[in-house]
Amino acid sequence: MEHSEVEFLLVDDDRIVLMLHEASLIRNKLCAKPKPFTNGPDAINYLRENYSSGKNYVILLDIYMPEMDGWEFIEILKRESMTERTHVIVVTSSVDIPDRLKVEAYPEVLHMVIKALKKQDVEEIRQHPKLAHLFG
Amino acid sequence: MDDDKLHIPLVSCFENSDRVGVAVFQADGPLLYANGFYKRSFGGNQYTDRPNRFIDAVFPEDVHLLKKAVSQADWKTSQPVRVQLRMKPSKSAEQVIDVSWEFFGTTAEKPDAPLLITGLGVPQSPAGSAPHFAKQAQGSSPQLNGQKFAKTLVHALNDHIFVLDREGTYLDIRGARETLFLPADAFIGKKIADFFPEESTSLVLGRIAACLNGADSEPVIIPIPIQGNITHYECRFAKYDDSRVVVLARDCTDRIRSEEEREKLLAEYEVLFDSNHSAIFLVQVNAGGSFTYLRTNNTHINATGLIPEMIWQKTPEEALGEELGSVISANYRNCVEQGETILYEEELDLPAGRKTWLTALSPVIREGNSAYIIGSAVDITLLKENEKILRKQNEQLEQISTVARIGGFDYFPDQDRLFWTNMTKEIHGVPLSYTPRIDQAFSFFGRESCREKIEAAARRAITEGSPYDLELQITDAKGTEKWVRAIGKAEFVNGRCYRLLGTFQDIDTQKRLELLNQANEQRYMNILEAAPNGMVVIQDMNITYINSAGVHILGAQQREEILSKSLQELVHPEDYLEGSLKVLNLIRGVAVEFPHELRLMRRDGSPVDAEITASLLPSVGNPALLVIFSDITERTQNRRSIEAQNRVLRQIAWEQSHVVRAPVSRLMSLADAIETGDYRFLSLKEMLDGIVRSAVELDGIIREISDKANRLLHPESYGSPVLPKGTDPDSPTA
Repeated sequence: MEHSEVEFLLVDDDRIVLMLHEASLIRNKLCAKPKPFTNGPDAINYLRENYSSGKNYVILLDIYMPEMDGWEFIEILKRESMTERTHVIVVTSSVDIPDRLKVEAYPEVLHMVIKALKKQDVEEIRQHPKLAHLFG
Repeated sequence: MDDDKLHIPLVSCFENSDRVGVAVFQADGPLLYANGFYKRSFGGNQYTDRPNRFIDAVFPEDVHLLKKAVSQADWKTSQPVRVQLRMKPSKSAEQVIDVSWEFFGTTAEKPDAPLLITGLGVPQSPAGSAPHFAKQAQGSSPQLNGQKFAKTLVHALNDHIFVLDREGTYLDIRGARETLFLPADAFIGKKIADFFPEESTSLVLGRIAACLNGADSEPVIIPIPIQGNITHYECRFAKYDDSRVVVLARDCTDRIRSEEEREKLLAEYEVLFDSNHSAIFLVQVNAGGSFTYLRTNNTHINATGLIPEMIWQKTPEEALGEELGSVISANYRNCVEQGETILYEEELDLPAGRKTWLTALSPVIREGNSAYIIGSAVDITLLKENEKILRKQNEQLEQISTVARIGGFDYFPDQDRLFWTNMTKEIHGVPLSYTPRIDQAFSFFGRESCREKIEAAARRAITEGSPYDLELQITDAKGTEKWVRAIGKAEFVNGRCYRLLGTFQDIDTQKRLELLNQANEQRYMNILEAAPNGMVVIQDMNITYINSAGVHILGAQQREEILSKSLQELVHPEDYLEGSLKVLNLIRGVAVEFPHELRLMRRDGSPVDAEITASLLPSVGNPALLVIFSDITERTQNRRSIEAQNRVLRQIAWEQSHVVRAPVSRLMSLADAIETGDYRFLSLKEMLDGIVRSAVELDGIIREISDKANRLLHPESYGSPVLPKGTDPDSPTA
């Protein structure tokens, strides 16, 4: 498959976590300049403005956020037909089984990562069968 | 005018007659005069060896009748003696002719001379079979001279003899002068027109004229009104000379009337014959032993479908075919042989259909033999069918009463007489020859209570007319105690009971079964009553039975408070739909899952949690359900409490997963960052702040979990567990 431009969006209400994840992606050379968002609506707006550019977006999405939770975020992507080039990876601190089951019910979610984001997690993302082609 | 001359026209009156035979003979002696008709008819009887005698022409078996008639003929009365004789046309002839004779006694000239008999005879044979009138050569001349015969005839005849001229003037009157309605002399010189109406007069004058012109002198009946009544005269006209006629007038009113009477009677018989409800038929017995149908009446025609063309003048074989005809002929032959009426039933397949007949055959005896058979048949097809049905019904009734062991009785209070049928006697264990009395009948009711009941019921029936139907015990003659059903009803005439009738049925077997069933039912009822679970029987969505436990669970004091209530009144409105659906499905035979939990309504309106199971009961009529229910309020409360605890535990687990892990994962991320020494995004201070914040969060969370656990373990100190608002641990979205 042809290499295409990829942008990483990080969505988490915990500012410290957001920064730590940003650092992790850069340090592990998965992405040079990820875009951090502390809430869902800002990330959605960003996508609305930029989705038409034809880029692929890998989104590291927290589930439990006060303003808009991760599930609502995914519903908007579907509703606004922005799922073709958005690849959602859920990043949560929950080890709850129902949460895991729910993730499996969303085909839009490619992968689930339990916080904190470790080097091994970054490698799994890089080698994910549905994402590998994006990273050349 | 003298008698000597008168005889010529008189003789001519009869001489040429072809209807009346005239003979004058001595009582036991020779024939003195015979007219042409007589001679033509019976002249063949002349004998060569002795003078011809009247008696020789008479059929031998009727000679005694002739002798009897002759002995009765008396000149003094001038009344004719009538007799019917069979006459032989000739000595050798086998055929005989029935002749109706009128004999007159006539005095001879001398007192000691033999009595002369004048006979006037009319053949009675039917026209078709009239004797042949063989032209005989002019027979021997009358041996009686003219004068003597004229006198004889004048005296013998009962007729008035008039001599009239062309204008109808009475010239002379002879014969029975004394029976004229006026003295004979009153007529002489007068005309007919002086006495009789124009119509009669012109008739007579017409005949006089014809006679004088030489026309045939056939007798004519002339009705003449005399003294207000019509008298019919049979008149014969004979030419006396060119201007006068002799008229013999005989009063035939009686004959005419009797003929009219006969015709009327005949017409009446005809009506009777044809309108009779029986099918009547007249059969002729033929010489060869065969039979010929002569007549059948209208009923016969309609009921058999045999129209006259099919049966009249035919033998049974010709009319009905060889097979059936021979059977019927055999019956006719049987009737002829027995010589009396025979009665029998026969089933015949005739044009009008197959029917059963009750037939009577009566022979008509002539001269000691059966000449005819009169048959009368009644269609009894329906009657026979009804008889069959009735017989069958009787047999069935008999069978039923035997199988059902039902006997009957009849008591007549006035005569104090009691009758039992055989079955009643059998039930009482007495022989069939037993004659019951009312007091004995009551004594079979061995138990005092039963005897009192039956006596009182019978008394009330007889005095007040009230019927009774009782089940009581008797002790039969063999000492066996058995249950019987006694039904009685009184019949009254003029307010007085004349009869008490009824049935007596042996119901011992079924009664004992019934009592056993009742005992069993009671036993099962006791079990139901002792059961700790509530039990109700539902039929048509109504409660028809509830046990004591059920009454208690539903908070009622009396069973009656629940009975007849509908299912809807006992089930919580929110649960009724589902509950009733289950009941309906069960009735419909659909598999229904039990037990089922629902809320019942206590009498005070409060709900009670119940677990029910239901099953169909074998029942007569509409389906009945047995519903067993138990009060599970306590169990439900326990379960709710456990469910609440579970929810708290889930909450704790959720909090551990989400809330606790959030600061923990943050700490792990910070530790990872510090470990790598990467401070490009966060300074060391920011990292330390993050560590402190995470520690504070963790502390708060642990406190909260501890608080919830305490609430769960010691709810009495906190009330029911309360979940954090907006965080439902049961929802996967939490």
